[in-house]
Amino acid sequence: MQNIEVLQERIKNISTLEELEELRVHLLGRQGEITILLKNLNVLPVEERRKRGNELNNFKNEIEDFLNNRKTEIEEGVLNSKLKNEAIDIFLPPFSLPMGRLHILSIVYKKVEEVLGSLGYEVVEGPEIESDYYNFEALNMPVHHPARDMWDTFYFENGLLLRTHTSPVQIRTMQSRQPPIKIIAPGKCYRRDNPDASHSPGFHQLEGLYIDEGVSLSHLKGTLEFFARAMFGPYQEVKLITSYYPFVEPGLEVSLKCVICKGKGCITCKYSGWLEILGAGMVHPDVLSRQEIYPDKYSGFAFGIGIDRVAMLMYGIKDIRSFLENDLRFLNQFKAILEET
Amino acid sequence: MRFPLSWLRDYIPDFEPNPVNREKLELAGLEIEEEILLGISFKGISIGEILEIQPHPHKEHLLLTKIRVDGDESATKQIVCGAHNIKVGNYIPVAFPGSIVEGETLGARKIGGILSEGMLLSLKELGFPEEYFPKSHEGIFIIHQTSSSTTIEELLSLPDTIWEIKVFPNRSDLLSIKGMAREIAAILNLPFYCPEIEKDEPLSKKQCSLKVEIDNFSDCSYYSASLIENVSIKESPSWMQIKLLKCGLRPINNVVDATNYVMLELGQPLHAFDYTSIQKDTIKVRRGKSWGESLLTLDDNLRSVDGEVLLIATTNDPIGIAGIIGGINSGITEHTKKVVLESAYFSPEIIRSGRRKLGISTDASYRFERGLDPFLADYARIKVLEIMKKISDSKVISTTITKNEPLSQQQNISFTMEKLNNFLGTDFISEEIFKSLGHFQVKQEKDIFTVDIPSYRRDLSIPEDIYEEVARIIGYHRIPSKLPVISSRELLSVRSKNIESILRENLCKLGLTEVVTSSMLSEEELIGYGKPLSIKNPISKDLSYYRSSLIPGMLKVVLTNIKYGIKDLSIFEMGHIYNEEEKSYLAILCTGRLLPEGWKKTELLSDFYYIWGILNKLSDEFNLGLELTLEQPKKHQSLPNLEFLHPSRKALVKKSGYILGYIGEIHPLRISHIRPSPDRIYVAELDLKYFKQDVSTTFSVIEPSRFPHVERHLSLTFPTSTNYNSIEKAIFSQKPRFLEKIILLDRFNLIEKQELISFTISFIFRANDHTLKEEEVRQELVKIVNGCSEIGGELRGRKNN
Repeated sequence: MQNIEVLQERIKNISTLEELEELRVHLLGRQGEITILLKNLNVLPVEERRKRGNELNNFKNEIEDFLNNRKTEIEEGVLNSKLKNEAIDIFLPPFSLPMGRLHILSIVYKKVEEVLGSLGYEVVEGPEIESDYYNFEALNMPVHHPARDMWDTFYFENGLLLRTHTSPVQIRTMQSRQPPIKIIAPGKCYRRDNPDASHSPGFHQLEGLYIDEGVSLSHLKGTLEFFARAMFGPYQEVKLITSYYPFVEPGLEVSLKCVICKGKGCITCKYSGWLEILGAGMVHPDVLSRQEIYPDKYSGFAFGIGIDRVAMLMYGIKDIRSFLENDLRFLNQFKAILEET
Repeated sequence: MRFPLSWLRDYIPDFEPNPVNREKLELAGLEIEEEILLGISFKGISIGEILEIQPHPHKEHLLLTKIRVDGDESATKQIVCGAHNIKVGNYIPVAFPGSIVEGETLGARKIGGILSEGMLLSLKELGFPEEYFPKSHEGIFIIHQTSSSTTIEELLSLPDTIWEIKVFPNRSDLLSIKGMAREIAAILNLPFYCPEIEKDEPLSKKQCSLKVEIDNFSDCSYYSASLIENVSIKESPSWMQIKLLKCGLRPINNVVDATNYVMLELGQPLHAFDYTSIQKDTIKVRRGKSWGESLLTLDDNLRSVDGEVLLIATTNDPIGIAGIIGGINSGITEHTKKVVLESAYFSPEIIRSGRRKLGISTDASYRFERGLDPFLADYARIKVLEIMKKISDSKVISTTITKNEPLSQQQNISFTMEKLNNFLGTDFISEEIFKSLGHFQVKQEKDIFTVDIPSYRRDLSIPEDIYEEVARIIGYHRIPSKLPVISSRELLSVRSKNIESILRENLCKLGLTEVVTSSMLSEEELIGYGKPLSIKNPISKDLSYYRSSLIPGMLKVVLTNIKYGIKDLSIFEMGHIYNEEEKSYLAILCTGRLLPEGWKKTELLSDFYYIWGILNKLSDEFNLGLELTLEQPKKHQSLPNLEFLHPSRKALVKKSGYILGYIGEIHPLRISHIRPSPDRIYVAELDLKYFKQDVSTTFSVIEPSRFPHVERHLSLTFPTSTNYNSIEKAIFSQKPRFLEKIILLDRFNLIEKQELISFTISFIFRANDHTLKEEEVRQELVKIVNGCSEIGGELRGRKNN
């Protein structure tokens, strides 16, 4: 019968599960040393047998525990070394997942629509191919009106034209709805401008129109100020400048304190400290009455926002032609966070 | 128009162009587009007389001059000069050694071996930069008719500032020095001085007087013809030339310059004819003959004119195009002795019509087509005759006036203070309103204001015009900012997002990037894509058609990106196209890898099934029930013939009987020119009108079954001609129970039996109320196999999972 310490020492030195099993069989197996000792107990007197039996059982239990513990230890060691061998290089390039994205103009449209949507403006749309009536005549520009020169127009053989602004949607809406009218109309517009960094023959606008009883110029000012601050920050300064569009009276141009230099003067604002971003005005009474909306009862305002220009200012884009070029490296810069903030 | 501030100050001497005033002017609508600062960059310049001119003895192109300075009769100086526009007796600006020219001190020096004791000066050297005064460097500036005591600074009105101010089309009154000065005075509340003009000459009946016949007063309501004799044509006095030059006009001769001068000062275009061109002393204001006639105009163009153009004619032939440009046959020449001076009112419509017809714009037509003060022609006539008498030693013989009476009615606009304040959203008091309208005659009776509108303010006709005048003179900064009350009806109407924006977001979720391409393309790019609309006046061939499909624009995106090394694209565009009518389309394009290249070796290329997968996903999300078909569309449904697609890799997309688009691979010939060559390109294009039709938004929640599923795979062989669609139909024709979904796992041609094709399909069964038993599943599989056998399907082997 071996000394328990010696056995323990021996178990400790075993490093494989096979050896450990061999020892377990040798000690505790059917023909194992301890098993045989236990079997041989019945030759002893009862008193002796009980005492010796207890001792042997304790010894056996202790050895069993020892073997089991060692087994667990060896198993853990085996697993650990297996896991260790499974090491990966965490610095290899990550899996590159494709992610879809809205075009930057859509992102800006979405923002503008959300801002004005929060004021109750509903989105409507109109055609890009327009008639002279909607693009000019109904907007107080009969055939020989000199203001037509303000918009150099593309014509089709059939007499139709490509709308030069989103303002025709004002007329279409006046025809299809009764006041109160509160709409915005996004869309492409076209002018015969030769393409350069700030001109594109195809560009993007968003028209706004609000007609109701008691609409005043101060409502227009408040609305545009809200818009400017929602888009460019709560402290954005806005100024209204006398301008002229035949379909509004008064006609205004709205300028922002330069978002790039904050009014100090830079290339973007041509050192004036201010940036024009939209045209606006109170709807001309003749435009209303032509669509059978009575100017004695109703008044309204309209505005047209250059979306390309807003996008250029918001993100510091220098060339308007980038929008239609669709270089994916350009488009993919406008991350999700820009869509939401 | 360019406005020299020195000239404006003739009317508003108190005007200070400081930044505060400048800002006020800009806010009130006078946008200063450009500012030209003319400083004094010289010192010690004298006015000299040329006594002698000789060729330079050694240098071919140079002249040797002798110059005497006024007041110093004894001293003459010898100066070498390169310009040849000088004559003996001319007075010219001259700089002697020690003077400063263009900021540098001049010394005496030898030119070609001859001592030059100074320099004769051009306007450029006197501080008129070439970029604003294009011919300022050409020739020595020759001084005409000036008193000897005048300094060169006085003569040139230096220093000076010139403002290029943008004038809106409704403000013809601002296209003149006087009008602009009046406007500035109104905005800045400055006194406005208008010099009196001389009394009109009494219209003499003696000697000859001209006959003026106007065909139609609606084209021309006033026409005056003054006959002037003893005219000596020469250069205008320098003070006049300088004013013209500063405004960007080129001096021509004293008669033409006088008309231009008055046009700049008062805004009325005038024209001078050589009397010898007038037959039988008759001037007719008439339309061009409808069968056409022609006239050689002063710009040396032969112009054919018709009934849309108003002419000035004599008994028979035209001598000028009214209000636009004169004829060469009646132009003033150096031999002209008698002049007929025209001052008239032409209707804006006829001038614009004529100008568009002829495709020219002149300073005169620009003003006439904006509508002038009907009384201005008469006033300007008196002014120009006064000037001509002074500068051409001439004598007015007679003036003939034909006009429509009355030329114009006095217009008044009335409004109440309450209406004004309601419109502006302000609470201006009557003193403020009076003050802001200080430039008009305003009466107040009880609460009604009445404004007498001056005849030159053609832009004021309704009360709103006056409200604007009040607001801009007081300043828009005084308008309070208010938000209109928002009704819940308005807010509810914006709650529903439009299908387009939901669609956009879903396409992005599927990993596609949105592009926005040009709607205008070249004819070449659009060949085969339906019938695009031709633009009558394109800016270039590249942009000469309005697109009939989104695909050509998207192929350009492939081209752009491949140039930069980006071959893998999954993009979409939503935009308008023209195909029998304007329509809203969606297009998708995929090419190259779906997952980026890399060490993970995830090779997956775009193909037909990927793009169909995108549409199918949308179909699922929007409950559309999209299907593919090979059937030809019905006649009434317009679709381009799809020859730009691979002939055996294309399909039409159908939704409840309607063809709403197509899907396919771009024909390899269509893209064979792209370098570096792209992978195969797959596209789909859909009409959003049908897409959006009856999109179902009703929805009820289904509780997913909580019982386990059973998956079985079957490999079936079919004749090679069998398409998968008919297999699905065969399977479902048996109405298998518990079948949750089927997945095609594999499809291949049998090597041993060429006429057969094998499909391996996974069937997933699940019941809502119990765990399926093997026997139940087996029964259903038997049904399925039976169904397949009806179209020639046979079980090839059966694999259990």
